Amino acid sequence: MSTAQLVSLTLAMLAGAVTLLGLVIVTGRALHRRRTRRDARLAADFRPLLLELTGGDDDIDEPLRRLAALDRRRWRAVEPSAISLLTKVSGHAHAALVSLFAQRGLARAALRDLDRFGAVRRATAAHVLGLMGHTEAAPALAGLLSDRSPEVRAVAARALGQIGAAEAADPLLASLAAGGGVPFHLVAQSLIRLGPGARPALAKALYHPEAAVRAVAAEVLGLTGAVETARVLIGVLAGDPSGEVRVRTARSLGRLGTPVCLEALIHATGPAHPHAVRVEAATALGDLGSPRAVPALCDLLGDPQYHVAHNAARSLARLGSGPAMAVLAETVAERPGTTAAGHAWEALAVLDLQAGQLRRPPTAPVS
Amino acid sequence: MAIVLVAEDDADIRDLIIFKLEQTGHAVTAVGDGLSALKAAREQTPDIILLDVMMPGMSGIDVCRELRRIPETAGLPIILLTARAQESDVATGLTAGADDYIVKPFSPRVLADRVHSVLTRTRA
Repeated sequence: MSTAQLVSLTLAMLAGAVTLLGLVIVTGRALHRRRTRRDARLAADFRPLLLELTGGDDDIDEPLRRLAALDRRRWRAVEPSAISLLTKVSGHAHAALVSLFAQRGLARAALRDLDRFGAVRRATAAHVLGLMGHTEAAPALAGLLSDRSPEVRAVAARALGQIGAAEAADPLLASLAAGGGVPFHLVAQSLIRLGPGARPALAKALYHPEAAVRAVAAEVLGLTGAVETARVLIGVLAGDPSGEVRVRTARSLGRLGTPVCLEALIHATGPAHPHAVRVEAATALGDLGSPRAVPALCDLLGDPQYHVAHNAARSLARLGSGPAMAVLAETVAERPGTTAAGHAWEALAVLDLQAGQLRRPPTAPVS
Repeated sequence: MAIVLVAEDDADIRDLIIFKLEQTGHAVTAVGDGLSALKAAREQTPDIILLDVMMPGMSGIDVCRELRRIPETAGLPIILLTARAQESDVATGLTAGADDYIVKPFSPRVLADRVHSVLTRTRA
């Protein structure tokens, strides 16, 4: 065979291959479109049943029976809508969908899928189990917190929060250690969703060797209003070696708002503490909502550190009580030209703006 | 029976609300964005309006504020639908003039009860 013939043959074979590939792609797309249209039609046919199931009162037996009895093809078309609805409803409607999924064997299938090779399958399974609040899946989901895929780890963390099993607190906190395989905010959100049952694990985590774990534990205890841990948090604010942990602890003490937090926060605004801790403590004193914080905040208005003084003024404005407002007004009137007066004036101006008014600048220039 | 205007961009939620409210005997008009809600409220003067906070074009809070400004819609009862993560919007919504709010994910039963309760309260 000559070179020319060889080239022609190669070109012909290439052209054939390209045509074949083109045909495969076009056919594949056409089939996919057809299947999508058919699934959409099927989903639309059964949508009234889904709405009846989720929106019905006690008469859901019939839609439940009919949806549970759907053949595989029809269920495949209905399932995405059902899962989508599961994320949007609560109470009786959620329970009805979970009951349907249980009858369809979705939980069993999802539990099996947690071990699949494909990350999408594992993540989807974790997502469904979380939405269903499938308590039995908690240990397997805790195992996925160290999954090789970051997406799977994130979905597993969220699912554990949705399930709300208190025993998930330890693995969730552990997932933050050693660099953390799961984003902090996801772990924090899930820990919050676990509720009061997670508090013993969170209180224990305040002594964890890793600062990241202590920081999240401190933050979540404040966010969940764990007032019984206020004294432990006060100890952390005073002695934790990490500035980040102390900052989050100060914020939490402000959120807890119990009387014992006041002295600890006032102390944390002292000059011996790092700047970030002082700034947060000045804000937290406003969060406490106690008029007893007014004298300390008043002293901080003249603080040489800008953000400390600024936050103290904003805290006084947030307290909003007579004495706090009087301090701000007196500072503007009696200390003109000082930075303290500037911070006080700004805090009052923000309050005015919130009330739809514009405060006139002070007559004396503010340095 | 009341005429209810529902403004919600999520088709699942919109369909479910329509189903539930029609089941409880109300006549429902539904739209998918804020501007359409404003237009429908002015044209149809419903008995009550359900507004999603996050909608394309104009937020539910802005719609609420605008409805309160227009004399013919100023007195209409309004319920806001807000996602749990936007709970801070609730205060803004109530300040904007909403009568009540429902947090998503929501229970259709509770939603129907809230509509009934706000209607009873505002008609009294």
